[in-house]
Amino acid sequence: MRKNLNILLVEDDMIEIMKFNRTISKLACLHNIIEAKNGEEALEILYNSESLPDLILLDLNMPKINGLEFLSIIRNNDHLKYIPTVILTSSSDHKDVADCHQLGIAGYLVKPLKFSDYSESIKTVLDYWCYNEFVQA
Amino acid sequence: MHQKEQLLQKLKHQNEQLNDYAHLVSHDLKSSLRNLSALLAWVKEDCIEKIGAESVYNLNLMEAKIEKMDQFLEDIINYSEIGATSLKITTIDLNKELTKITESIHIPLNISIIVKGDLPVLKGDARRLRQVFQNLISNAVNFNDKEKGLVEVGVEEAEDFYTFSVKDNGQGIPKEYHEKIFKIFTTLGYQEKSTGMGLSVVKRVLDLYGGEIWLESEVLKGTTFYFTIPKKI
Repeated sequence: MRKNLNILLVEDDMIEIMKFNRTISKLACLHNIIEAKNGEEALEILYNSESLPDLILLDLNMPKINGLEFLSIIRNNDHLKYIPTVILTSSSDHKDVADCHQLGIAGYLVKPLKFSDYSESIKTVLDYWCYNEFVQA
Repeated sequence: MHQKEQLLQKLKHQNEQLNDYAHLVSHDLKSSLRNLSALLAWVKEDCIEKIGAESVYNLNLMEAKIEKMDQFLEDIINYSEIGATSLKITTIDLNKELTKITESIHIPLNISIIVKGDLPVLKGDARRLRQVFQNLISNAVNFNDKEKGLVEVGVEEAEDFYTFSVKDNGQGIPKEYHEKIFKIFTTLGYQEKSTGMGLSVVKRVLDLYGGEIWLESEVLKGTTFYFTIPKKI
């Protein structure tokens, strides 16, 4: 059945976070969003919280621990490796795409230029994950 | 001799750095543009009732400029990637590739694209080769000014290489521009959206392949671009 998701959004850009929240606020589902400003902060949240998020949305280009480093850390952690992670980035660089897939991702979204297109793709991704069953940690 | 090698090494290194730099800067700028574009969309959404028609018009112009700049950055990224990564050689069926390409280009109803005869199956880097055909064909489509636009893709086989042609019945290119159009950022300004990078990408890919490109054109009547791809890379 369709359900509300616990989403960890790892994104350093303030306006990108605004874009995401504005999109979410117009959805029928009430998802629970946890924000992290970089990979380091995201790891702290994951290590310290009792329950894990259903889904991680991950930016690649971030200070401190970047998206790829973060991805590689959680994929090598037995406790965290099952969390589906969707990349949200402005880079369609082939090396980035290949590296992410190699580490294991549940999707790779290149942010469209227009906000309306962006909203549409976020909606589609979340709509899909709403209907999924997750490994409960 | 030793000195020459050192110099080459140094140049190669500098070239790589320059490519990385172009890449990095373009991506950062692209991110900022995404921000701007969203903010602009919100201002429009929230204020469209309150501001006058002139301001709406200006906001739309801003939006169009942002779009163009984004395309520009995309082209720079593409351009800097060529040569920065080595060619990935696979076997390519050009007939299939061409179908994919024509499907990916927006073609107005009054323009038709015809592939004459069978295209070869050859060894090459699919992405790069696609770029060559895609840029030449989309130029032929976008700049076409005729009521019934026609774009023809053809090929002739020689012993060591293929000569491909992309022919259009568009507005033609004056002789004095035949070399200049391959230079980066050069556009003849027929179209608001062009960034002047399409043909420089084509040229750069063909340089990498050891191919050549030239054109025949008659002003007002049309242009044919020819390019060669060696069979052995």
